[in-house]
Amino acid sequence: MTVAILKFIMANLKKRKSYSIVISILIFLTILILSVTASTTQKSSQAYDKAFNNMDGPHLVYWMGKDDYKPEYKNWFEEKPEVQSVKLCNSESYNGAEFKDKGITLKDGVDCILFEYKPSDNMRLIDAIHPVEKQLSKRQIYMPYIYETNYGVKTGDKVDYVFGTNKITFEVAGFIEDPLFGADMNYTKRFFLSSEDFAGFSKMNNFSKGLLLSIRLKNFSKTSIYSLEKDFNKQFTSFSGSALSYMQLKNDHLILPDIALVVIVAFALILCVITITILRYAILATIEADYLNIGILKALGFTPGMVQAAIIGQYVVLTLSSGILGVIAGIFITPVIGKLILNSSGLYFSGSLSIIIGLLAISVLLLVIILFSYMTTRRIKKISPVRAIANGTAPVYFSSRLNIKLENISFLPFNIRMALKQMVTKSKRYILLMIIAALLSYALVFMLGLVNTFHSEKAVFMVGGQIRDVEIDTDRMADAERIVDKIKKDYKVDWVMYEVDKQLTIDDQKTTVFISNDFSISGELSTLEGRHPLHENEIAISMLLKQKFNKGIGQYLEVRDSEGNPHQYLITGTFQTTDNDGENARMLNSGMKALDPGFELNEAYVKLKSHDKLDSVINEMRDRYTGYQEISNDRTEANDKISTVTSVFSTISTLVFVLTVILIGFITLLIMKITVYNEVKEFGIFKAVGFSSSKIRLQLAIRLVLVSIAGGIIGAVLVLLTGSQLLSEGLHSIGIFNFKIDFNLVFIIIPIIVIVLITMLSAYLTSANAKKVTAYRLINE
Amino acid sequence: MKETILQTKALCKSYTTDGEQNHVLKNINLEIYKSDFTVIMGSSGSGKSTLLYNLSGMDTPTSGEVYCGTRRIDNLKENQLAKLRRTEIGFVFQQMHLVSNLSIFENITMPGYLMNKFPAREIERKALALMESMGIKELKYRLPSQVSGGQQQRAAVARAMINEPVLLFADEPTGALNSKMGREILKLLTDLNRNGQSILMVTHDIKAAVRADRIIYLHDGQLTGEIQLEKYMPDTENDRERQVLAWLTSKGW
Repeated sequence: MTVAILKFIMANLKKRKSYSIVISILIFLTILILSVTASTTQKSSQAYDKAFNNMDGPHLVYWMGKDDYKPEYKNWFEEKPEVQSVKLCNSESYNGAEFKDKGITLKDGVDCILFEYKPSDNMRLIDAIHPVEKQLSKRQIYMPYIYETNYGVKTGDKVDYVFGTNKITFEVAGFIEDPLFGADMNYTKRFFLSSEDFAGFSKMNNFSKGLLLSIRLKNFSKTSIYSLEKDFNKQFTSFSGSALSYMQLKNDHLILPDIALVVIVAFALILCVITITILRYAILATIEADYLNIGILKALGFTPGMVQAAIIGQYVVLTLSSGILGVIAGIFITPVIGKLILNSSGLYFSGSLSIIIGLLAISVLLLVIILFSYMTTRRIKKISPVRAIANGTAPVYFSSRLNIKLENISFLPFNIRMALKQMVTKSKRYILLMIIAALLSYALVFMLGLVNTFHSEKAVFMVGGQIRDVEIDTDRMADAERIVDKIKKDYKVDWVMYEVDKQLTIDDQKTTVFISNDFSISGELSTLEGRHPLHENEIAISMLLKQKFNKGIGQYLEVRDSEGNPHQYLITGTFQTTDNDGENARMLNSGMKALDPGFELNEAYVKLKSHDKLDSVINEMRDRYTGYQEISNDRTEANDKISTVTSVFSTISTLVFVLTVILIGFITLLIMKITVYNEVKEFGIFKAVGFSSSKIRLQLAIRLVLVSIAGGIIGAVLVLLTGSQLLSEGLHSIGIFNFKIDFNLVFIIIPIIVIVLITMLSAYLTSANAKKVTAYRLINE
Repeated sequence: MKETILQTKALCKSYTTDGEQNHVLKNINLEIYKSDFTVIMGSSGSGKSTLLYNLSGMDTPTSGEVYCGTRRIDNLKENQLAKLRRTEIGFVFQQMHLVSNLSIFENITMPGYLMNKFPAREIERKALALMESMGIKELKYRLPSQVSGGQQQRAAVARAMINEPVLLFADEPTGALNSKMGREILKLLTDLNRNGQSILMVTHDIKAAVRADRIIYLHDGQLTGEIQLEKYMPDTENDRERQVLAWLTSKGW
């Protein structure tokens, strides 16, 4: 019997080559995408940890000015039993300094922090001139890896370090993988110099001296890191530096790759649903087509279970063979996708597809396929051998209830009437294509909506930011006001906002607080619940802080002043933001003065009525107020951040777009093959009464076009109704709770048109088999 | 002088199986006349069905010529043949072959809509008239599966007649019916012929054959004879049956 079943399996695979090929391709793509994305997700996380552990990365980093440092900090950590090591590094920075390649600024608005390169730091060097010696000579520099991948800098290039009116040229000796500040979205970057060069900058008075206190734990966990941080803040309430944890650092590097991977995995899951749906359809078609054979097999003594096993066996063979091919292809594709996905992270992707993940993907899909095949083939039990042998064909498979009378739609051309009639009465068959078209249209409209959203500057509002033109960073508020007055006098200004960010201890947690004179002045900062603070004892917090502190509107937070004394602030509202990993607060200037009477709002942001003159404003103000303040272009930095996100989503959209075209093409091909196979008798009748092959093919194409239009529209409507909400749910971890995708009509219509055109073309071309059907066959029967 | 509506000249049809040529039709020269009820008979494998496909443009001969009126049809392209089938030919199959998800009325009107010569209302009016004349008017919205075999075959005849074909082909139209239903269909065809419809029918059934004005006998792919009969009258059926049987026996049937 086993031999008989195997023979039946092989014969059916041979007989239905086109079904088998299409299903194989779907399974191949599903396994390929699932295993590549799962492996890439795993390897991305591993890439970060590898870079991190390679340099004995810190689980807690404190950054402060050299003058703010007290030796007690280091001693306190060294005495803690859970601490493995404590390191202190010097840094040098110059306000507004930048790196230029052939006169063009590399990554606008970035804080370029200089460090001394020590081979003992064990940072990974990429494309280095001295990979073995790991040494830097005078006027050589190691730049973050992102400058090679995203900004086109090559080893050996000469780059200029421009600070104030000075310029020093360095030779790029290689790139470093920096797990602290290496991500493209991070606007602080570490540059490593030779000891000689670093010592030179250290002697310059106009450079800010910084210290990086790095703490590595023996056995770290989220709780142990938070607990240590909390204890430190309690112990040193006057500490004024910034703190970053391992979780925040990792999140900063992998947030964009992770979002990209989640989108691709979601698409792979859609693909899984499509594969299963197609499979069910193919099995039903097989049973219909093999009705007589099944009857004969039963008459010969096959049990329904044996026939079921034979049909399920076909799909097991297809799943295993295509799945293995998918895993093999994935081995070659994973490094390419991995590099593409990690492009924005500043991390080096190494390794390939995980065979275990590949096998797991095959096993899961195989199980699902066996389950669905079993459920679908249960109807075999109902086939009576006598009836099957007598009739030769399966009972009618159309719905007599769902119907359109041809004479009621006589205003339509005949071909469309016939197509509509066939489509409605055989809706079960076409509902499959409609679901698939809806799913693919959903995916495409969603992706294009995202690209469109991030294509506009307004995306900044979505992530809790503002569109600002000029940033003025001074030592005293009076200086900032002086420059603002000058800009107001010479140019048309939309609004001016004074804002400074400061690390404060809130409920024993170091938290970034944005302090301003008025949060409503731009009209671009909004709250999700409640309002911004209007009085000195009020505070608004981000949604993630709300979750972290487990406190909401009407409750109080304890904020410590520079002496460590607690002050109570009433929560008046919550907002969404991606800054500081979604965790920050907003407080009025008067509120901050209650904590620190000497506090001054010494930073101002100016939005011009027209940003055409932005460059001239910046240049003019820099020339006029040179020396002691930073005047920079804030808009470019915001646009740069947005363009990083846009490029990631554009890449995924292109991928989804190409896959959609392939899928729609193949699925239409499969449906056409099955339709022609099942309706061969009808086509014969049509030909006998005078239909030409082209008319039959046109009618078939119209059927699928009508179905794909309906599916496309359903998908688009669904994405309009649920897309923003779904995305918001997925973005909670980065601080976004209400993301409104900007759906553009053109980007809604384009996917529908693409789906319809591909369906039409594919249906017309693949229905060529209808040509071979002759009326002659009817007489033969 | 009768008007020729279909004519073949040296029609041959052969198939190649395993490298061996099988000549199914050999040098057939035949004329079918207007308003005649012509029947083709022959033993199994004689090639009568093959002859029907080649005459109706459903298949193309290996050599020879087929004319519909004065127009040669054996060398027409697929689209031209499709047009021929919807404008000049009607076909009734042994197994009815109605489209299962179209109602009886839609099956009948479909070739009319397809021809696109008359407005939809005119086609529908004509279909109703045909249904009434064939006694199936009340089955308008029924599906083929919801009516009897005889009613399905009537609908098939009505479908074949909707575009007023020059020649109605019938391939064993009573072969799938019981004798009562078979008789009804034969009566229907006879009535159509009385009203001037030219019919060419293939049959095994002597009772069907006796309805003809002319019977052509085919043996081993060759025309071996024909018999001309008086117009059919029901009361002469038994005599005609004997006459036809004697003739067929003489032909080796």
